[in-house]
Amino acid sequence: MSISGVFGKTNLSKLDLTIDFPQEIYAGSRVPVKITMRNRRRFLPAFLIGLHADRISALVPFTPVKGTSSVYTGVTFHERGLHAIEDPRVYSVFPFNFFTRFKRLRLAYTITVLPRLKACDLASLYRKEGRSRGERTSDRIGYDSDIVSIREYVRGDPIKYIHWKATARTGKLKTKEHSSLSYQPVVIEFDRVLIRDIEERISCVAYTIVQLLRNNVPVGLKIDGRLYPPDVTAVHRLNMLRELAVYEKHG
Amino acid sequence: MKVRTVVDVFTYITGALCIVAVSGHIPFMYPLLLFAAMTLSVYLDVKKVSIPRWILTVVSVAVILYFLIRIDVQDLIGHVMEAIFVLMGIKYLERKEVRDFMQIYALALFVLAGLGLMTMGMAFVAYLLVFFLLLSLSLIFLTFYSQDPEMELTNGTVRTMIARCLWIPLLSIPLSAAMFVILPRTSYPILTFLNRPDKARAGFTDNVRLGQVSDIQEDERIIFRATMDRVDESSLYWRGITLNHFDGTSWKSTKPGIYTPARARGPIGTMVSQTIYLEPYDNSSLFALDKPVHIEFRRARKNDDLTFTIPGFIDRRIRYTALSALSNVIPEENIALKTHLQLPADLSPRLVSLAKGLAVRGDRNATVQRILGHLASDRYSYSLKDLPVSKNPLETFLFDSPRGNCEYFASAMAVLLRVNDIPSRLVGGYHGGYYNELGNYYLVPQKNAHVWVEAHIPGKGWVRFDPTPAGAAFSSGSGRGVLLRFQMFVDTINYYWYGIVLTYNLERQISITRTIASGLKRPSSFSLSPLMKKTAQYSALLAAAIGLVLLARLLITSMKRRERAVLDRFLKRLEAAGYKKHASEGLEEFLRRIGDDDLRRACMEFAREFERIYYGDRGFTADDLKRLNLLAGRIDDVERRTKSSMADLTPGR
Repeated sequence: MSISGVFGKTNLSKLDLTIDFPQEIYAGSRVPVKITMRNRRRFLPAFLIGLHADRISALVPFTPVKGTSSVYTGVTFHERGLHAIEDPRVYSVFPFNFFTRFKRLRLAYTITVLPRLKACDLASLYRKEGRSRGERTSDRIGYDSDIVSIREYVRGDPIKYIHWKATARTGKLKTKEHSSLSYQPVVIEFDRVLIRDIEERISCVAYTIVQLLRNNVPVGLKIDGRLYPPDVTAVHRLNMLRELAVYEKHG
Repeated sequence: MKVRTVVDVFTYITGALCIVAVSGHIPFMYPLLLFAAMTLSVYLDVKKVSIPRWILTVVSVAVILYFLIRIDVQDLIGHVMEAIFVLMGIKYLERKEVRDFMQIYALALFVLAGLGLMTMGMAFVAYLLVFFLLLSLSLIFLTFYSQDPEMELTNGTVRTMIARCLWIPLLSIPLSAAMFVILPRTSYPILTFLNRPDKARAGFTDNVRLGQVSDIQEDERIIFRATMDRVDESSLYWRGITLNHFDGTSWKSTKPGIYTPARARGPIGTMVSQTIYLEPYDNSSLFALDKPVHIEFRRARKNDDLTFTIPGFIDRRIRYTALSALSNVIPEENIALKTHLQLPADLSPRLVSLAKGLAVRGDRNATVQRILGHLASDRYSYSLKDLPVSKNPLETFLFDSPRGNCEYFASAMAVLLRVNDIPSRLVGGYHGGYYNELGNYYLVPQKNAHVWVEAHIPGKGWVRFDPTPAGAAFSSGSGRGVLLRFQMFVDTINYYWYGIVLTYNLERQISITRTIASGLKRPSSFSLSPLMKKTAQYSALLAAAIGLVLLARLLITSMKRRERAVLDRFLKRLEAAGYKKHASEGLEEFLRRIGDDDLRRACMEFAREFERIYYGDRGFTADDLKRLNLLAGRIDDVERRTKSSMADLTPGR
């Protein structure tokens, strides 16, 4: 019994744990979490290490000595905002399933859970107003509008964009390059969205932002007196969603 | 590989081990039944079908009831074992979940415990060890299985797990051994009632019957072992019982009185102490070298004929110490003449006339010698075959068929003496034995059972005479052939097993404690053999050398580590303040990243000082380290100041 106790205790010693979260975690949806266990011991592999941290629980069956192993598990956060995951507990029933031994790891993670995305008609309102694309021609290359230039054919160009006339004239395959049409930038004024329930409103705004950006519509956000100018980059999107995530939570 | 598969394999091995372990101890049918169940179970596992649990439960209950009805107190263990085997077989047939596996292991444990009660032999230890290792591994894999029934492990992982986890049982073996020595125990065995009484051994009996059988089978089984130094072969007479009543065909013992010191002086001779491990047999005599003076054993009774008995039969292996005076004389004067001159009424006239013919008038000594001489003549020979079978066996032996074993020779002599009015009696016991040099003990087999004569000579007392011709197979040689030597070697192991483990009790515990205590008090009295002494000396030297080397290394590394520790503390403080140095960063490079001017300045000061010494041409002195610690401490001050100023700025405070 005592020997198994020593083994059980050793089994939880000298373990490093890292939890990797995906960049975007939306409230209410299940996201994968990667748990990496590192065993710094020289003799005993880590057997059957379970992990309890907030909502995350996982089981790492075996980690070799001086090695790592990782497992994936799913986790769902139900509320938006900052989540602190502190002092996760590792536990194990090794070796004989008679006792469960716990150990608190000194670790802290702060993750921002983005608002739940909830389909709403904010986008359709927007469409109804006729602010559809075509109003602005951008200088970016796309497949939508006028021919901007003609260039050498590159493998993979769709056949329908081959400029047959130029091809015939030069004897080499030529491809048309069109300009792309871009959307009218949109700024969502959070306070003026007419949904009374704050959570609903946040979800709706977040959904709209995601949807519009998916369609390449530059979106900006005015919230709490701060303005995020319209843009289409991923960083910008994340910043806006994070702003929404912590809205009213910190001030 | 699925963890489940590993658990299955271990569980089947456990079952197989049970079958092998008990084979021969319980009726063959039961292990066979278990084997069949295991085979069927493998088949069911492969086919992925299972027998409904309720059917098996009903069968189990029926089995238990059946065994309860026909339970037999005489062979309790045997019956329980049989029942366990059947239940185990049923358990194998069930669709096995974690608890079923646990139940199988528990049943296997019972089987092994039962085996322990049945045999107590060395084989039991071997099985116990194997089972112990197996059980530990099974439980570990079962733990894995219980956590996730679908878990899969690579073969390499399984191997590593086995290799590493085997240490758990291996390390606990020495611990258990220590427990075995330390744990208190009673001198009254509690569980012996469960013991199946060992089969009675032929050889030594409390009466001598003549003329009943013509052939005697030699019994090689061991009756006792006696730990002692080697003594002269001629004194190897192990006294057990005296027989003084002859009815014409058999000798019996009239109940001897309790020994009273006033009646006789004790025998005089070299005192030899023996520790005797006596196997169970169906009598109550305790054996010791002739003449036993004292036997240290609970309930042992010393009789007035210098024999020792215990009430009841010796139904289990016992251990006792005996003290004997090596002498062939008991100086005793006042003896019960009537008892020791008793003869059957219908004594053959031929015998009487032979006895009278051997008498030397007025000289008892000479008469004894003549009788001894007569029996030693070529006419009589020693034999275990074609013994005289008749109504008057002694006459037949002396006149018609002069072949016999010790019983005939001794009986003849005693009767011839009694006819001549010389008091005599038969002494039963053992003669000779093999001396085992490895274990320093005499090994005495049943076939060494022997009977000799004691004649009372006035002025001397009871004198031992052995009329049986030499050549009787009482060889006490220690090395006759390779086989014997090997047997002796095997017996040595058994001997230690019995001597050290099985007879370990409270008494021994106390004596060991006393030895150690007295050894601690007076180290000089703690005698070691020269070899042990040398070994101890060298080991001490080696240990000292290793210790010195380790100490030196520790000192050197600790010197190096001290400055490292100062730096580490410094970095840890910064980390607490939110600045973490990357492994690839230089110290100053890292510090330059610090945004807070005050903090950076304080840190830089430390870093400069540190580098000055670190890259300088001298080592760190204690003063340097103290100063550096002081500098590092300033970070905290700066940090505290910053925090308090920030707190002032926070609105609402």
